[in-house]
Amino acid sequence: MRTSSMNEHDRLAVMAYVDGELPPADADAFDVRLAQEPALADAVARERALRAQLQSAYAPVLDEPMPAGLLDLLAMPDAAAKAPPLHLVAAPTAANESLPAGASDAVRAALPRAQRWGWLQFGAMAASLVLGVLFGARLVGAQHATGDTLALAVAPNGAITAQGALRTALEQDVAGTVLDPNAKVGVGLTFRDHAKQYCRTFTLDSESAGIACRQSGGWVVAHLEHGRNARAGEQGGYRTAASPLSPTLLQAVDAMRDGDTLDAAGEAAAKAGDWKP
Amino acid sequence: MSQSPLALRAEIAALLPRLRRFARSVTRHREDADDLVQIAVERALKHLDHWQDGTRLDSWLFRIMKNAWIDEVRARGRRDEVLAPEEAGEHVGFSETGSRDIRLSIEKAMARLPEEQRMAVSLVLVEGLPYKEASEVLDIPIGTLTSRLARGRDALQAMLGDGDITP
Repeated sequence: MRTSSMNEHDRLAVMAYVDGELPPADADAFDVRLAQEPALADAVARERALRAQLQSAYAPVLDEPMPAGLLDLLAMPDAAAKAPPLHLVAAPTAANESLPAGASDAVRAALPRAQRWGWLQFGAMAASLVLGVLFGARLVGAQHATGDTLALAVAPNGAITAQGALRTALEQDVAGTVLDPNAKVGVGLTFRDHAKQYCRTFTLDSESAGIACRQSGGWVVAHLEHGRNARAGEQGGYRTAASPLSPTLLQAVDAMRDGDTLDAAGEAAAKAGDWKP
Repeated sequence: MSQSPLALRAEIAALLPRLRRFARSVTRHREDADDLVQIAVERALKHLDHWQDGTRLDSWLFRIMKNAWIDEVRARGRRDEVLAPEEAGEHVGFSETGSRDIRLSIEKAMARLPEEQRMAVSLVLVEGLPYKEASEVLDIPIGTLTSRLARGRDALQAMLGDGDITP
């Protein structure tokens, strides 16, 4: 039976039932009728199928890369004026994907505190890092506010890859590149990881630093940190002339590296080999 | 307003994927959709103080987007834009053909719905808004909303071919 051929009352009741809009007592009474009236049950099944089809049809939009222009809109104007921030925006979709549309408020409320408060912590850590949070450990997009060059992009599989100026720096810069705390993009140490891939530490604007490793798909970011902690010098922490990098970044390097960091000749050779393992 | 502008901006950023999804079904075009989201976010930021703490931020933004789209359509004078005949006539079955075909088929069916029905269906069936929220987004009584929902659903079922077709 088509829903449209039902009487108006039943038709609206089926709809409200499927949409979860019947008061509990009415829903219970409707359940009783459903068990007795196959036509009604069919109509409910069809409405549920339509709802599921609509949701799966539009769900992919949630995972599409976010246009940088939209992210820039939400940067704090004063902060953006002061410093060229790296914008990172949360991906609520990771948590929402398997849940009904509209569940986002409930989902977010149910998220671990650490994730929910990520926004505020980042905001407090670095005023110029306006929208920094790894929500569900996934970045939607990142962009340099000072130019149109994307520094980081997120692959469909969730991997963060270096793009634009950062990618160029990773591929071109060899020893002699001095990690200047004021440089927008800089490359520091180079080493090989346990899979023999070449990895390099980098800095992005004045707030972020990380490690990227050369894989077949490009430079994949293996470690990324933001805010004060990304730059040891700012809090008087461990710092050597050669590497103004944070202790956590250096620890990450130590954990990842297989062998010593490369010297100038090693870097030049690696570059000549297109950074292939 | 108890929330700081920073937190509110962050909340809006977190809603961007859903705003884009709603915009896609409203505008039916990818580029138009992102333009609409941009316009709506700009308006929202300009009037952040109008948002009432305790109300749903997503509903507020959907409503801004709906109003922005109405303005946009008026400006373009294409409210009654019709689809190309071949597109309107195309009908992709969804039985065994995989999810991509399902999506195309449903998106085309959605595109053929009158705008007021399309918005109602999108808000309730895709975005999952309760009737009350959806009716406020659209500035219509709940009875009008349910009527648009019913007509929209029937039209979609008819276009998609709902299994027990009796021509």
